[in-house]
Amino acid sequence: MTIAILGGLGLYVNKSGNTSALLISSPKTNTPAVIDTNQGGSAVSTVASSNSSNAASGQGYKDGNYIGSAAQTPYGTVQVAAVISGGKITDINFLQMPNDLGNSRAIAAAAEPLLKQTALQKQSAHIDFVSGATSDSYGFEQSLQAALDKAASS
Amino acid sequence: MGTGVSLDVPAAKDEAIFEEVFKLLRKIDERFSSYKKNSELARYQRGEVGLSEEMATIKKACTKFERLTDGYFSAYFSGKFDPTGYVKGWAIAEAGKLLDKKGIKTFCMSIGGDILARSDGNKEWKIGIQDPTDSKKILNKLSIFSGAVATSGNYERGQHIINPKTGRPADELLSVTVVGPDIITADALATACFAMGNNSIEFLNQQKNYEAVIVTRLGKLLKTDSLDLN
Repeated sequence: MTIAILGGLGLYVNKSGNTSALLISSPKTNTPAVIDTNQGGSAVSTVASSNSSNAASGQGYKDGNYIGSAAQTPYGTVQVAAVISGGKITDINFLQMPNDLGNSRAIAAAAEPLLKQTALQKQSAHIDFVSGATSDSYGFEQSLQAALDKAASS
Repeated sequence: MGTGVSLDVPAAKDEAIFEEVFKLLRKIDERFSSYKKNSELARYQRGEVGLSEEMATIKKACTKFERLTDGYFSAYFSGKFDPTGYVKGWAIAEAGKLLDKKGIKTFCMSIGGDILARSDGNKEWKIGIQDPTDSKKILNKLSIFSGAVATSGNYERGQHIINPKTGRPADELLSVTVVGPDIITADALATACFAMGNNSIEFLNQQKNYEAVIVTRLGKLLKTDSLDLN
């Protein structure tokens, strides 16, 4: 089981077997919302345990374009769509990301490439992890922190 | 920490261990982030607090690497002590210690492209080295059971590694990937060698137990003598 997290605001990508689920967690309340991008796009649950989404692992995905349900998070609405091709996730599109707060936009902007990259690279033949410097983004960190400071003081 | 963290624990059946590790990382970030106004590091930089035990250990280690790399690794920027580069490797090492303590024998963890792997012998971790010119491509693969992989580079939005001898951004290389037993050392070597530029292969060939892959500015791939790539 693998979990990836981006930043202190806790954007979790939970991968287990072939299943991907997106967990958005508010650091204040720590209540995660789960979006299951498994085929068909299942309903959103607000339960921390995501093991139910592993039930389908072992089956391949059916090719097509699947829209996940819109999840309500403390920061706004999140909705993703997954493109399945050749039985694998080949692209992830963010239909809705929280944007009612300035900092949310920055998080979304940062999260998109990371999540896409994580999902796609995990499917690279025989690669478990990728070592590279692209995740180093001090410039982004700085602007994100500035945005967070602004949001905190407004 | 801002950068992506990824942790794979094949034997984990639920999120508990991940929560513990992420909690530890968040604590480290709160203390040592140079972007948080009230982190311990920021306060230390402003002279509001003295050296804590951990900060002193970190400072000492940074000095050690500075000497080892003839100043190419440095934790001083514009006169200010900023060990953020070192802390990344240190954070993974601390997380690794936590996982060891919990009896997790097989795991692989990545923070910002730096990787720490452990294996009980059944799982061989396949690590792809990212193409510094195309983030969706892998240049080469290496296989490790237990060990560390650290990559340094100046990417478009990335941190600028300065060559301390010239005072200007290091630009002879696109990336340096160091493989070896200890993540902190691998990380410091990768950073230092990136600053060192073309001469780093010679330096790396002298480091016992550490191997490296380098991509030069012209896109040429160099590696140390004993490295096996797939």
